[in-house]
Amino acid sequence: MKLQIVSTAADQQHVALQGRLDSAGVDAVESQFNAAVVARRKPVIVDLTQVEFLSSMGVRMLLSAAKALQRAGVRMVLVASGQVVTTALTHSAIDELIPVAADVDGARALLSSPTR
Amino acid sequence: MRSVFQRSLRPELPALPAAAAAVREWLAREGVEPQVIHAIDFALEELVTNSIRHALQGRETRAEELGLRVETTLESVELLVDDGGAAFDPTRAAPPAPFVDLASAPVGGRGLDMLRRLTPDVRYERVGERNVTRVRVLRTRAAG
Repeated sequence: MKLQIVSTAADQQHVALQGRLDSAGVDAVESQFNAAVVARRKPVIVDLTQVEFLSSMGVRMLLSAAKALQRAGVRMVLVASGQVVTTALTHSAIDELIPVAADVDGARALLSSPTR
Repeated sequence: MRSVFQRSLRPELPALPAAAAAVREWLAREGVEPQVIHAIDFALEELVTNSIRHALQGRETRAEELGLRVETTLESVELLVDDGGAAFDPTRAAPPAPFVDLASAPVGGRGLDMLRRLTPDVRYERVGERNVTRVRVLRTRAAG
């Protein structure tokens, strides 16, 4: 499991996860993810298009980060396009809580839209 | 035609990735369809993680205490996970309450519900002192 910082700007950042977001993947990446995403307290795009597998432990990591960011008054948007990940997001229902876009342009539009 | 893969697993999370990879590779060699492999992979991850985190928590365990068995036929693939932990029937676990909003959402407790949505055919029995959970996934060709 890898985390890539795609871009960091003053007003928003973009990170990408790659690999299997299962219990082992979460153990490997969660500290780095929280340092890059939660601690910076900026609106963030989390790109999951290179994630091959998403388990409930991965869902827990994403939801925990989104909640922490919301407490800081900022939003997280996910990018997901593959069937494996979109199905896991739907089955866990976190797509009802965290906006999901099919691509990065869509995610930027969601981040700049008024809060629901 | 029937083929069987069997393996014992140390009841520790670091042992799971290699076992899951071995199951995926074996299923691919057996010619099982990718979406069926994914469903079995997901069930294996959720059931083994659940056993290690809950059923086996606080118990003395032996190296061979968690068992995996995967059986393929032309019609289906069945995963069996058995452990010697406290009795726990995943088919009777209450579904999580619907989310209301992000602030009040609990961060965990959705794994078994995700499993039931992806693979509805989940069965459980208590055999002696062991939990035995079976997940059956229809082969794509058989289902389609």
